[in-house]
Amino acid sequence: MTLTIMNKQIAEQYLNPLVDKFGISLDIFQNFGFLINGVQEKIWISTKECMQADLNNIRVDTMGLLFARCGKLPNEFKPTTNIMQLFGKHATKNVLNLNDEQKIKFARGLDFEITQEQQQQVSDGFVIVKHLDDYYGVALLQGYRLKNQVPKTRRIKKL
Amino acid sequence: MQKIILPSSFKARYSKLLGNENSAFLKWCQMPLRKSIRVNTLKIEPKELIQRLEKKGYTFEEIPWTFNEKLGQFTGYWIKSRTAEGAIGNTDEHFIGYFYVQEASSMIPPIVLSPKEHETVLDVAAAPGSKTTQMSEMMHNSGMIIANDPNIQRLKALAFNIEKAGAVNVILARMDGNNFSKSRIEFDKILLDAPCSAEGTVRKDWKALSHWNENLIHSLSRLQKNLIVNVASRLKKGGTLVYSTCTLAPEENEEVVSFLLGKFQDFKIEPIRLKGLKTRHGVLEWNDKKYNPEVKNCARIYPQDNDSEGFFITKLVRA
Repeated sequence: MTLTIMNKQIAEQYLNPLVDKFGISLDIFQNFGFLINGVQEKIWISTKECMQADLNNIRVDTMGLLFARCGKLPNEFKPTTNIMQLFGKHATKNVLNLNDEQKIKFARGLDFEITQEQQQQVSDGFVIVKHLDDYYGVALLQGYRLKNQVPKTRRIKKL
Repeated sequence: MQKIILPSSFKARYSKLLGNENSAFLKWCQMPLRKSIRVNTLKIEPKELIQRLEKKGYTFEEIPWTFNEKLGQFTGYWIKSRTAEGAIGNTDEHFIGYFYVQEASSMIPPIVLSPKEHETVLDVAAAPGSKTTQMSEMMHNSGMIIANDPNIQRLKALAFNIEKAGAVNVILARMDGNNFSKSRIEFDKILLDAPCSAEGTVRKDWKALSHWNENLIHSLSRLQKNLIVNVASRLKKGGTLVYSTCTLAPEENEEVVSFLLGKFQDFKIEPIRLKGLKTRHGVLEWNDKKYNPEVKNCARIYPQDNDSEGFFITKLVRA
């Protein structure tokens, strides 16, 4: 897989949904850089030292963490579970606070319905999911139905 | 619990190495190992995590060598007891990546290596990633760690743990560690936690010694010697290389370090002193082979000394 380092301007264009949808300021990433794959559907985050290293004669598998998957439309921008567990605390909107029962279902990879009160706090599409002060990841909201996006390898069998 | 396999030739070997202490050593090899965790300080402060887990019925004991001066807190904890149901790996906190289940002696190499922010680090045999993620935390997710493993399945496990920890400063590489000699990078720090006969892990894995034999040790020793000289060539002047194994075989430990010192005259061993960690000097000769006298500054960690796995660690600095 070939990854291309994005300059600041291009990165800001791709990451704009992070600002618009979740209210996450791009300033928090000032110590990091971003890369994009050839078909421009996946964004990676890494450190500047990693991006500037001379990696000749090193068989690189991946660099940094997968940050987001992006589609053609802004509402198709999906930050990854791992990234929102790290940076979700900087979000100011479209953050869904789960109750005790829901957080268990979420960690197990299950879909479930949310309450009317919860539904009024967020808009449809991808939402950041938390329980109290813990950021659990990202889910896809369609009306009252929350569709789980936790990768299978991260789901736990019993919480 | 399964009876731990200790071949008779293994017992005889350590009788020769430890003399009167051999019976204590063998007794401890057969005792279950205390489980321990390391706090992921990229995501949570130790005090907060421990308080949360204590409310769930766990009690902990601080691992003395994990005290972090900057945080003013310990980052490693033995699990003393639990009244909670289920394994600690099934907690919310583990799901979110707030801690890593890691053996206490395996936390030592990164602490000795002491990687700093913005440094370049090579982790030659990184999978499954406990030390890599520990170093990411120590570096506050800055700089660069090249975390390597030649085996694709092990690399997948490494990738999983790096992602779960939120380690952004890691480049995953998949190649024979010897080929780093061709790299153009000069590293500030190198960790070679070498593939080994894993004698020291018998308390955790009852069948760790089921394939143990002296031919295996000699074959691993050759592999380790090649690795150490190839990776050492990429260490900056003034840089640090930590060589560690979870075995106690001198052929895989002092002999390998002695071999490196014979090839590179600008490497010196620095003694390791960590608070609360009892270590023993390196062995100066074994089976009619005499080693470089500097290896006395290597550190042997026997199970009976710290109630841990068996371990070996050496800190080498390049002048």
